[in-house]
Amino acid sequence: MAEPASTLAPDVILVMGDQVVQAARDFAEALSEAPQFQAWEQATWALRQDQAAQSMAEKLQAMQRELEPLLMLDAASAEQRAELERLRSEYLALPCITAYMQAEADLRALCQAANMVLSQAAGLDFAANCASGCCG
Amino acid sequence: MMDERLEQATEQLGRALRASAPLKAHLDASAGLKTDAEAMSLLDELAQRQALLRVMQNAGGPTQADIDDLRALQFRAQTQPTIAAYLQAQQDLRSLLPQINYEISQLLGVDFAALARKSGCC
Repeated sequence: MAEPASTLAPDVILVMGDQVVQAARDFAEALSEAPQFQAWEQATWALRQDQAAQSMAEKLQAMQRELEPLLMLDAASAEQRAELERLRSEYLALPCITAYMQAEADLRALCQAANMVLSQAAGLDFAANCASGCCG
Repeated sequence: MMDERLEQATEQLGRALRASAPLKAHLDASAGLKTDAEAMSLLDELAQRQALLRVMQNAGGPTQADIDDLRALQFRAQTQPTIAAYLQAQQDLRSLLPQINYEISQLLGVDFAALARKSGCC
């Protein structure tokens, strides 16, 4: 399969240099082949395929939308709060959700470790300098 | 946690970035700033003045003269050559690095830098 085209504008490639562009693509490829990334992809796929999880997510979102105005005014009843909490706990306890959350935590840890190595070699914190602003 | 191939690719990208013109300019400007006594003292003074203004905001508010003084100091700092060079180099880098991250993230299907940042704001 052909590699997807670069998203970088010609002037960015010119300023950063071909070496950076190629190294970025090689890095992405190496990261995509890491077991943690593969596990995360699989967990994401499994989550999307899980009908029970999808329908529970829709139910939860509908209930959150319905109760949001009441929660903001602190006017939701104890029963309504308990029902929302029960649905949320049930959703978070679904096997595909716990598997996805674990896979995402593992991928996050891998990306943080990669960023440390990357930043040490580059001389500055790569991820922090990619933020558009605070919490960006 | 990282296999050898990923570690090598990561180091390779780090080295390529370090050798790039915008990063070199940023590191040079940063080093230049640290060795410029006038620039550092201006930045110290600015930090102190800003801290003082924050305290005054909790105690009745600063006067217009306090605010004007701070603005004048900010202008002096922004136009001091070493500080201005540092700010420009930092701005250049902050416009370029997110684009490199975007390239990586498009290939991965997930935002690498967002995952790699430690949680918590700033």
